[in-house]
Amino acid sequence: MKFRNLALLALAILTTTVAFAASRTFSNIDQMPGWQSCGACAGKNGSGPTAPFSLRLNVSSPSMDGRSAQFYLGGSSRFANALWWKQLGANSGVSNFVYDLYFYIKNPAASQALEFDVNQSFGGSKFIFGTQCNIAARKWDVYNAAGRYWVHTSVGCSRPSAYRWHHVVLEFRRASGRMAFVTVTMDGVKHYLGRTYYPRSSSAQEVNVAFQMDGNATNRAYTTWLDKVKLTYW
Amino acid sequence: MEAGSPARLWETRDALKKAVLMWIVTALAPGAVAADARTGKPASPKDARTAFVLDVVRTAVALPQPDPQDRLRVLHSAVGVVGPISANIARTLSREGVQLESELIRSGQKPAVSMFSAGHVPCTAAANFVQSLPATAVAEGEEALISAVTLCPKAALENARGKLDEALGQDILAARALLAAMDATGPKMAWSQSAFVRMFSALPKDAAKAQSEAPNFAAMYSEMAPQVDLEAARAAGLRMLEWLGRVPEGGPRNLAISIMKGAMEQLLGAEKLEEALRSNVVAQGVVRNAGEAGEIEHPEEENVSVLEAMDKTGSDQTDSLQALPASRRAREAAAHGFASGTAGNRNQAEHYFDIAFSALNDYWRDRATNTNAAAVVEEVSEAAAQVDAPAALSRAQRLADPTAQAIGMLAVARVVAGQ
Repeated sequence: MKFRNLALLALAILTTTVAFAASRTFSNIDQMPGWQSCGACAGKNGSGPTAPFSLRLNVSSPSMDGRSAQFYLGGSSRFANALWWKQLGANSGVSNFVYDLYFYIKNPAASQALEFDVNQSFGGSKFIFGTQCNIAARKWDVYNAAGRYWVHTSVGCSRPSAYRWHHVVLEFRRASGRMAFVTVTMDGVKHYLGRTYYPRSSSAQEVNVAFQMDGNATNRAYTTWLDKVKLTYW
Repeated sequence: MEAGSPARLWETRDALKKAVLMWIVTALAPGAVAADARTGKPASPKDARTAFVLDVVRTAVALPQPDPQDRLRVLHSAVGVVGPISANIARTLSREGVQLESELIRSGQKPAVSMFSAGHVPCTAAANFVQSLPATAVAEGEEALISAVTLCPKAALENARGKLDEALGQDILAARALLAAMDATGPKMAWSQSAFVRMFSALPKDAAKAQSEAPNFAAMYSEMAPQVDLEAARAAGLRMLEWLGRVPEGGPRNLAISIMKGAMEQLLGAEKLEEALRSNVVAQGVVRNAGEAGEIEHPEEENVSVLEAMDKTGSDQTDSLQALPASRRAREAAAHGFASGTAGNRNQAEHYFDIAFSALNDYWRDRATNTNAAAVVEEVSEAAAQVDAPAALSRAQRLADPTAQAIGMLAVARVVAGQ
């Protein structure tokens, strides 16, 4: 009996050790080179309206730490979008994700939505932890990857106040082959999302973080800055 | 219980609260579908949820909140919940909230929350807010002022410029609101050019007190300097650097210096910048610090990891929770309650929610100093509602303070509305 208890204890310690050993944090992703992007592909069915877009790294102002990333979406088309993502290498052994970042926007009245995603692909599946502050609908939305559509949650996301940094922390979990959207915390106020969806099929092997800007009907250009972008997974 | 029963038929608040609880138990029970009062046909689950949310909102805003800050918290929360269902009710509540917010600012208080962040503020209300804002209170009302200017420029911009001018005349700065007004006006317009010059001539005398604003002032410079006359930009830059010389050392100062140096270098060129600095010894000394690590100070946030709670559903956390201060105990217990509940262990979840709601009462008592008390009540109530909405509503109604009750009930309603 004693031997069994000791064995269980050893197993528990080993499991805990392995779990912590697998934890990894990518800090200041906004300063990393190699961001990829697309315009039309960010729209509905991958073929939305096009507009000029750009990304500038290591911008001193506005910034939290002296080096922010400046994302720009031009205003030449209504409801245009632009998506940027940063590959962080494949890892199929992790299932908990914390996406933590600050954003700054001067003209929220020009934005339809700001989207923050973590994507994990392996074994023929793509787990898209897609979330967006749907400014037009004043809701946080989450993405049903298998169904390929956005779902309003009960959590409000009204137009973010301009000219200040907002802190967003998103918690996601992959469990039983599904994606659980656990919480969103904005400026220290945590809300429980409580939504779970199935992934879609994919042959990719990857973990990446993404940011997308959606324009609205006003057809106006706008800029968003991200800083202290961090992903922790285990 | 019929859907759509008018709340006014309930004579007492207690009766209304009980009725709402019975209503939710009936409406949300699996397979239960309430009947439509007019047609007698079964109401759809969506209609039942909508009726429930409206009833809860009416109940919550009917609860007594003698403290205007508490009333503002409840109205802010109610607008967020009812907005997607009834824009009319949201606008009515917003008007009351904006009026209250305005009165609080006029009486010298900083509002606990701004109604503008909940959305649904009509432009007429935004314009009235700006109109009645004392120029001496532009800093206290800066958040709302920025929202009014960016969301309702036609209705609010002219008055906002007037208030900001008046404030600048008294050496009162609201840098972010000024920047918002300049952007809305157009950076090349005469008012914006003049406001830029006046702002950097009116930097706060108490530099130490204003140190957290230093990066905002620098951001304003960086944004506007390329738009104004070169000599004006050069002079404003030197004044700002001199002012930074009086700001205590630290992250915000370092960041502001780096922003200023970068902006002036880009504007004047390295050679002209050196020349300008030679004319001002203090500014020259300050720029030597450029490049030191700097960072904006962001309000400290209590961090509770729900994912970690989900990793620990197999073990009892009661002892470790009891050692925590009230706010953290409430949030951690709610996270464990959510984790246990979603893992199928309802009894364990109920136990954690008992701890969480008890801690809320402790925390709420000190809400005058705990400015995020309303957010903690919302967080805990939402976690409980994700597991069992009727039980969560009942718990919220049993909170000691009527305002906490109202905010907790609204949080439950928000979760139900989104299901």
